[in-house]
Amino acid sequence: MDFKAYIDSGILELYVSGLLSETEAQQVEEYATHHPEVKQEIDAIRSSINNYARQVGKAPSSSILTKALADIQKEPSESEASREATSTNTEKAETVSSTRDWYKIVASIALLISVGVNGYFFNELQTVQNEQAQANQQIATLSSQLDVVTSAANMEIALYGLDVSPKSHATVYINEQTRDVYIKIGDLPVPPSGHQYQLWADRDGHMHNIGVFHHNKSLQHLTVFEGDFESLNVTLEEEGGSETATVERAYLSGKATS
Amino acid sequence: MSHPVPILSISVEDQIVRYLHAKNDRAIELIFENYSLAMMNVIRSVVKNEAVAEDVLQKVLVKIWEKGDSFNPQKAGLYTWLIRISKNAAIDETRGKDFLRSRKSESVDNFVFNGEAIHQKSVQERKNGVWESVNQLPDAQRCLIDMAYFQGYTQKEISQELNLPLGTVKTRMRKAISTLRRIF
Repeated sequence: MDFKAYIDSGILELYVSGLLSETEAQQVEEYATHHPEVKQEIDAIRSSINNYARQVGKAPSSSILTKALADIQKEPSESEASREATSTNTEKAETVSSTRDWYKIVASIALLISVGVNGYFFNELQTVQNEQAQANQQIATLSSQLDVVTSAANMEIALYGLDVSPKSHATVYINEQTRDVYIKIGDLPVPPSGHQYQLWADRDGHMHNIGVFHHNKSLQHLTVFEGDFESLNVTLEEEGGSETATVERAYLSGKATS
Repeated sequence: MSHPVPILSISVEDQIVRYLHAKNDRAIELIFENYSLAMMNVIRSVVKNEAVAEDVLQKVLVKIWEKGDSFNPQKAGLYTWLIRISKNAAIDETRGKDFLRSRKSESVDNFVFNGEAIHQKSVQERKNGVWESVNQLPDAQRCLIDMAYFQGYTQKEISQELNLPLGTVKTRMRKAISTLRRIF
């Protein structure tokens, strides 16, 4: 069957509705793999149906997505909270029991070793205070990073792994007023010794340097980059960066969103 | 001297698979954006209850997240996999429960009524020009689209419900989609 007759058979409309049998759906996918026109037709049908559904309020409510994402994000913390609660209850029960049985003995021991214990706890207090100061610093850093990630003024561009490292990914944020560029690595291999990753903007077929960045997962501010571009790309370069992009070692790429 | 870098065109399916494997929840957002309508249609065709279907879709998204890193695109297409999980979850939901079966017993008049109800949407939406676009879709075509994509009807079921030959349903459906593609 030629692809036009196949398209006219109406099977693609059924496929997009999700109501074909699995065997039939797999046959459509197999056919689409060998006929790009069929794949384009499927995408066009899906796109127009999705757009229509959104326009007439028939698309699934976005609250379903919000709840699912909340479930995904809270699952580990809930079990941790549960474990902590169990642990705290056990400790409390043990403490009460222990206090009742050993109250007099503990009081006597406390009198005998009070000076030593006070010194120990003073050191502990200082340690805790230092840790708290570090935690506060981390919170302040994370808070400013969160501002960048969530700011409506920022354009977000997803970079995807190329053939060298298909699973790699990162996100670039560009402030549309100040043109400040930030990058957050999602997954990128540790660079070999003496090498660093470098971000480039592709404009009219030429790569413009945006800057090198460290291989860690915190959000990094690179530079200010003016003007439009077709895509952003990450290559592996000598430490300190290169003047020209080493195309053979391109790890990530993402198209401009507008 | 600068060198152009060839930019690969990455399909949304590939993006989703990569995000699933990387355990990035952007995968779930993209799945919802592109495929939730079909997934909901499949679920609705089984459970036949809107509120239950919404609960099932939510559970399905979480399940996809949990299983996503082991999804192998060599074994199955992403879309077929999503539809299979949705259908299985909907079937599981119905086991041992008494579900309302009213959706498919609704008369054609009701669907026409639903179509009319669409016209009754807010004045604000009319001002936005949405309904001028929707109005270009004839009622008969809108009814078919509703049944096939929002009510979980197969073309065979539509043919029985509307008492039309299957061939006519297919032809009209293509025409309806063609009209939609012109508008949206």
